[in-house]
Amino acid sequence: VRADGGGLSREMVRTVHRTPSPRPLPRSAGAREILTVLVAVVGLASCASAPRGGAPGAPIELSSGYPELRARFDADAGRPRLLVLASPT
Amino acid sequence: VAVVRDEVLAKVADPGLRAYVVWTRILDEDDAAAARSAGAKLTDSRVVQLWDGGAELARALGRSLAIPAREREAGAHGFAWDVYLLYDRGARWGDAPPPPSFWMDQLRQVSPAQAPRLDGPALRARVEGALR
Repeated sequence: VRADGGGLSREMVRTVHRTPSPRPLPRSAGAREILTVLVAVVGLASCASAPRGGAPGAPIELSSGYPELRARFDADAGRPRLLVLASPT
Repeated sequence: VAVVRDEVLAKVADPGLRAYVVWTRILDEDDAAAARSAGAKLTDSRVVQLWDGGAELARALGRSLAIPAREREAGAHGFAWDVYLLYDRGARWGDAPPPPSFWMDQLRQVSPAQAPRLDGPALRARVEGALR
């Protein structure tokens, strides 16, 4: 129950994912090389599409005096800015 | 935050908009892991996410916005959370939080005369106006 008297936390509901058993890798060296290249390409593509604010799910921790926010806020002057404060739960 | 994500960020494509989502420690279950989990649902590249683990920013903005304290909160002002603040292009932080040009909230102790309740389409209209 939320401390302000509100409803249940969304984090109280959790989903368990089952991971299927891995398939055996191809035996030939050529197939393994192709697989390695594919994994590298997918990895590079995901890095290139990472958002400007950092990896999703990794908020920047504020120091005392919140210089991390103040610096970004002033660096972004000239643009409209939206600031949201919220409980994560 | 889902309202901002779905009603503002998803519908206002202008790359000139910036958003800072600050997860702050207000409720008993709030911690860095919860902030990471909540943050994973926000993938818009215009958003910077931060974790206010000491609720220092929430307290400072509570003073700045003159948010009344709740019964169990010490002092004249309460914490700023569930607040949605819009700043014009010229706003600068400097030594103290600047006053927002417009803000909304979901706090019972804030009267609608002080700030309107969160309304996604109304907030989006304000954001679009600021971008013009």
